[in-house]
Amino acid sequence: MKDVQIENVSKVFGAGGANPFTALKDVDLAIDGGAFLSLLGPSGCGKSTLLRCIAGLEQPTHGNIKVGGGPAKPGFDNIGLVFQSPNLLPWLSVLDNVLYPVRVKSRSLVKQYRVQAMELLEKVGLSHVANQLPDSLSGGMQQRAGIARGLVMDPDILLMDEPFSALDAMTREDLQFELIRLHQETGKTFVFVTHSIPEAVFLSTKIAVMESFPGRISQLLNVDFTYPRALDILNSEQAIEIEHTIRASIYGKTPVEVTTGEGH
Amino acid sequence: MRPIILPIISLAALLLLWEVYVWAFEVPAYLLPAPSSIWASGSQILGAMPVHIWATLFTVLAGFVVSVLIAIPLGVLISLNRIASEAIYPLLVFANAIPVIAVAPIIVVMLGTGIESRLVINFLVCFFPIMVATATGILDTPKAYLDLSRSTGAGFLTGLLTIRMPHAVPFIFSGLKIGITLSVIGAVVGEFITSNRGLGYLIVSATTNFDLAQAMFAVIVLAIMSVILFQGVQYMQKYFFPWSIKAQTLN
Repeated sequence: MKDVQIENVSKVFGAGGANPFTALKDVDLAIDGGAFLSLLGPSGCGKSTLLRCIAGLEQPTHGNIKVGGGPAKPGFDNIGLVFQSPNLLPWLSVLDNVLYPVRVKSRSLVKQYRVQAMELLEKVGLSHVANQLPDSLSGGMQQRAGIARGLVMDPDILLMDEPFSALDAMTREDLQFELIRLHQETGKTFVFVTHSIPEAVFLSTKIAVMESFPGRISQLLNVDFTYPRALDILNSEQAIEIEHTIRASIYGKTPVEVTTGEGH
Repeated sequence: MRPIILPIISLAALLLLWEVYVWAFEVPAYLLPAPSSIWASGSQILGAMPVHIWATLFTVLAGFVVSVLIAIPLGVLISLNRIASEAIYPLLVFANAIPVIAVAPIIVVMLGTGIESRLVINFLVCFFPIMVATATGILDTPKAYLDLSRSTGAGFLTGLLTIRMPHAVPFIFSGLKIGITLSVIGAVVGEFITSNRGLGYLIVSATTNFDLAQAMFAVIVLAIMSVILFQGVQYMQKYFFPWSIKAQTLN
């Protein structure tokens, strides 16, 4: 069963204006239920735009996106969204931030969802700070709360837009493990935007490699490491092979060389 | 402790210098009364003070509340609706540019010598900074917050109430802090023009009798009132919106 179906999608910003910018061109992609799909590419390849289209925050200029059988639109219960910056509202406690999507749906649901929200906070290790303001939390903790907020309506699909890019390397690894665990436990479909090749290889079951100008998908790769995954897998021959393929696809067919400046 | 003690010491030194100067050069009291005579004069009218203080305070607070009730919705309107903003913002800028002291006599002729005139004068003095602060705060809302609310299906009104308004709170409070101080000025201007009580009235009536000591006493009471009101607004922000304080450095 396909959870997300992207058919022939193009997105042009400023269409009809003096400087139209083609962010996406003819993108076709089907995401299986339960997959961990990474949209990987250099900046400007439209990976975030594609994610925003799936979330319904942008309308494609051409083409169709179907989410769980219906057209993509904002406010769809079946989608959770995690932002690049944790994007927690500074006037709400961590718990109320997690409950924000519920609050928007209906104020009367908030009480009913408190238990789920607390369970989620427990799951991401934040139950002890549930009543604190987000300002008092570290970047990593804030993003954990951001993930909990994405999951609060129990969606089938979790969309994440470079959620770890603002974090330090160690916090980042920590959250990568956390994310794999959540993916395995929940069996949900994760769509993950990143520009880090090792991150994509480590996390994903599938990688859509994207190219810029115009943004399009150049390659679709399967990553079938078994679970539980350890960072060691990045040193395996298979991982190196996948990384090599991705680099070749992004930088062109010639292998990347570093000039040292010394003559040989 | 030092930030409290130092200003007290310099104030005491200033008062002492003033006192000595008046005494040494025998400056007449109708030109510059010594601090001790200001205090003496003040203690004579202490019994009448509550009436004057209350009259001024009422104008300040009523005028401020009216201004807030009009300025905040107006600020929201001009920040969200382009047509409304283009239609009325230039008029509001113009209204704010009019020196209130110049129109105050006109307002009194139009509305009479009652509280209405004083409220209108007060409003004209203090609505503008509150309105601009509100509009600035609403427009400052980060796009990512708006994306969050839109992605969860929030409509315009929910977005306004759960995202834009809370985000504007610290901005609105900086407007309120300016507004409450201006409101004191507005109230005094109103009392200068038309009143038979209040601290502004007290200043006018004392100066016509060359009783500078009494006038200065009234000015000091006004300044104290202004500081307390400012601190009151500050306290309300701290009490009701503690999260909005952190980002600010001046208070």
